[in-house]
Amino acid sequence: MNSRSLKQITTLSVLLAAGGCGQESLAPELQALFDVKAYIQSNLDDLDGAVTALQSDAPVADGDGWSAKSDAAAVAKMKADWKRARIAYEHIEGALAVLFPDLDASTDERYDGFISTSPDDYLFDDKGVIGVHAIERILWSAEIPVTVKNFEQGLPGYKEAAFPSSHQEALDFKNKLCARLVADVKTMRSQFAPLALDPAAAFRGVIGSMNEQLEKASKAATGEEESRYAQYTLADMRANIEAGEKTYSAFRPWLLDRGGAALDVQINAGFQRLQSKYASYSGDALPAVPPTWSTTSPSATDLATPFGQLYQLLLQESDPDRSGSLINVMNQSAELLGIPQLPQ
Amino acid sequence: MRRLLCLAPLLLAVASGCTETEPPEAVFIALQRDFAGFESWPRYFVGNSPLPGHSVGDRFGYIKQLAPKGAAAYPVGSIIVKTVESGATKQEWALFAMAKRGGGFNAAGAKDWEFFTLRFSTSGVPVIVSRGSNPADGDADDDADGGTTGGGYGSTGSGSTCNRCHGLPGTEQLDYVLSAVLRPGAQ
Repeated sequence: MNSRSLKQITTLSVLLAAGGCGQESLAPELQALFDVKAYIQSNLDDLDGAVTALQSDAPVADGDGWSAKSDAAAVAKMKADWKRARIAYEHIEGALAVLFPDLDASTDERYDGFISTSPDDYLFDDKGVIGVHAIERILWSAEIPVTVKNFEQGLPGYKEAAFPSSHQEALDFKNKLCARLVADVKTMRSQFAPLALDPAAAFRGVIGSMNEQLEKASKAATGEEESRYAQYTLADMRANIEAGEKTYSAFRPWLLDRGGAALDVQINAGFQRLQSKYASYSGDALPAVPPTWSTTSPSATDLATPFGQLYQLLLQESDPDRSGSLINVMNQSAELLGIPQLPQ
Repeated sequence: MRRLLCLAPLLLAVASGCTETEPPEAVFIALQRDFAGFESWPRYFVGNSPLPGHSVGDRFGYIKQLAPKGAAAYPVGSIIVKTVESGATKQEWALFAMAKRGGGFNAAGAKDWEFFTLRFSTSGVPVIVSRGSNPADGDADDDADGGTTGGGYGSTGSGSTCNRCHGLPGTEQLDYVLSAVLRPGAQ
């Protein structure tokens, strides 16, 4: 933090104390942190709104829980709320994982992650299997793909997903499972509000999120992908990239100020390559995984499929040692900005 | 830096469009900048006998800000870094830290404390590798959601966890700080 930046902060503070809300040109590094901060806060607001709506849209509990027929409209509404929450979360998951590791886990952990420590026989309360994927698993319980079922049925402690089938289960879904998610999101939102980010937290979050793209795709082969019940993982990934580009754009003036024009061109090209590829697929689900797919040694035929092409692109773009890959140039830009990187 | 922290709420008002927010509960979310220069903090030798979850070597504790005289617990915002200073370069040191996060964090273990694994970057800056109530050893494969918390750390991948010792029943009387020399008020 240089003296010029501190002077600008002081000036802004005085303006605010006087009741003003004026704009003043900030040093690029401060502007970047402000912009990232505002972006995360705005998505936390959206996330809060979406999960609150999700809870309030849960069907009214009656004697036999939910009915696929009579509660169809409410379930459809909850599914729309869930997707809205998902997009907001995926926009900022990199930062949330860095700042709120435990709440990130309680919010976004997958079913297999939760039951790896202990089984959960009751899926509607606020303990054990919780968070967005626990809710997703119930909402889409009638449409779970076969590969996902096969994967999960092999897990120790597996419990089949289903709609609430009693008055108590329906009540608990709303007042415990959904309420816990709402509470966790509100905690992140309120604790994030007074936090002054540092460049490492802001920039490493987006690099981490970009790094996860390959993992998200490759787990589809075994039914372990992230939004596996709603078949929404490609939408998650589109949100990740959109957020990555948005976050990077906040750092761009700072990078240019440091003489990083060439890196900027490469970074934008990297985002463009991924966005074009994601846009070439219709729908929210990842392209179908070829039945003969092998992550360790995929055949040329399998690599030529839409899934294979996506996998290959992600493999290249997430390789930190591959010259010009998105992660490679992002890491270089972090270095140029003086953001220390993890040793290899 | 202190000045910057004092101004943080005002800065946030800028970012949030001058809206008013309720005063948050006292919570400290440590960031990488908070560990910078920890080698200049008061340093205490804490032993070199074998210890679960830690590599072999001389261990030292660095306290960012000593607890107030007579205090039974560290205040929110306190940081203790523990090092195992063995290896040819500082990049080989094992670095751990605990920061008093507050807000009931890690309620099932060392309540209010957040644990960290750190490493020195090639330029000698401490970098956060993993954090949370159960930090991993930095291997992304440890974590099903790709985050920075996971199944614990350990050279054998045995999944040692900080809470296994720091969160034992009775340690709350020590504010979960096990080394006698590092406990609040011991300096």
